Amino acid sequence: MPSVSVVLPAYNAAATIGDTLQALLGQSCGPSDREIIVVDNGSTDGTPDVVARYPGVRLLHESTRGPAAARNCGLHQAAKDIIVHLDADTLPARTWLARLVAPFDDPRVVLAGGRTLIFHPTTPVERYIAGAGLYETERAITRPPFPFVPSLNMAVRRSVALEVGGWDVGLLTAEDVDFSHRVLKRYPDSIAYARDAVLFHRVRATPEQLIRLADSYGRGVAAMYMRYRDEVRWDIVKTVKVRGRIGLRAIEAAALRWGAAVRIVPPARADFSYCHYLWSRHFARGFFTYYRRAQWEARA
Amino acid sequence: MLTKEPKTRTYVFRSDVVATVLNDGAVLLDLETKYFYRLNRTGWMIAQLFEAGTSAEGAWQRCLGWGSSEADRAAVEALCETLIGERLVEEAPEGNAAQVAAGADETSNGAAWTTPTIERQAEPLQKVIISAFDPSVPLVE
Repeated sequence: MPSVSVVLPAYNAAATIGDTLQALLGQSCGPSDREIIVVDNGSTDGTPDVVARYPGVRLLHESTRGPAAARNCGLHQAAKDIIVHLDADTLPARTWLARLVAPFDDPRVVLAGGRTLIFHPTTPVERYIAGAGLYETERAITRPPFPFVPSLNMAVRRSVALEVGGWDVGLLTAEDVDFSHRVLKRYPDSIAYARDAVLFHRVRATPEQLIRLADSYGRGVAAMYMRYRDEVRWDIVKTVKVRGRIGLRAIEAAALRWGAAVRIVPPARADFSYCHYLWSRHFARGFFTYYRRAQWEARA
Repeated sequence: MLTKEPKTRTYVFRSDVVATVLNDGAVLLDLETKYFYRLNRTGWMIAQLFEAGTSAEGAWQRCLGWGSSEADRAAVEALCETLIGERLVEEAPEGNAAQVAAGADETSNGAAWTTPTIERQAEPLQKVIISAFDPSVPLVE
């Protein structure tokens, strides 16, 4: 089994990172040669104090803001063959690490993603995120035009991460899409999905947070289209298609909400549809806002 | 029910039951039914014995070593009944005698004995609701 450096970026994660570290330290099997590195990204809530309670966990500090900068800091300090990333609000299952690095027994595999499940969804938004599979690696690694491994449940060969230049600190969102794209350009068909590597994501989301998330993801995808416009083109047909989908989702959401009000549709279904509309609308808004501005700046 | 099952029968976790350790216990997820189960610290110490394989009686004997008293027996048996009744554990292959689960002892280090609890979440994890118009979430393709 390869040696592993677990790199965990953290920003104001005092409320959750203790459980994450406890779950990491409580792995029932896996590589014996491993280290855990937490990179604090300027937290003001006492995150480093929480991390200090866990012996054997190495704490680094990165002043440049953003998860990409934090992961680069960890990447350059890590000493093992495989770099494993997870977020500070996740809970790995007991066998997660062993299952996530198992695909690397095949020398052709350079990038792997595990299975991410939403932990105890309670609100309609959390149930939407869980039901829609927004963080599901299984969907992300086959998603055109930018298949990727979400960085909250990822493993990559350290040599390859360094070879592609690490993480782009210029991106505050979709940095994992960009990273995966660069890896896959250099090593096509080198991605693996570790279905048994189960990790729980502690999403605690309100409608406002869903909107912000959708907007930032939309901007991230637009950044990818601008960055790789020689490979993937955006056109008017796609714009019409997107606008049409949003319109249909608005109609669907309104119809189901009416149906729920007169008790012919389960409220959960209406909630899901409304969240789906919110997500679609604000994802598109983020996308088009960023894309138009970037195009204008490119022309100027 | 333990009254129907021999208390010395050895059980192990099903392969599609995953556990994650928290500061105050652990959570189990049955990937088949998608139900979460929350265990307190003592509940997790007992449940952890089923990783290597144990019987209800074996689990009780270990609890005695961790400071439990006869008054706790019902709670320990109830937890084992839940694990068996909810099919989180399955009968170990014949000839697979209960082994020592070192992890449980590590978990118990310094922990005061409390009544073990296990609680099932009211709803299963994911009930994917398919949109009547378009189930796909990705908007920009």
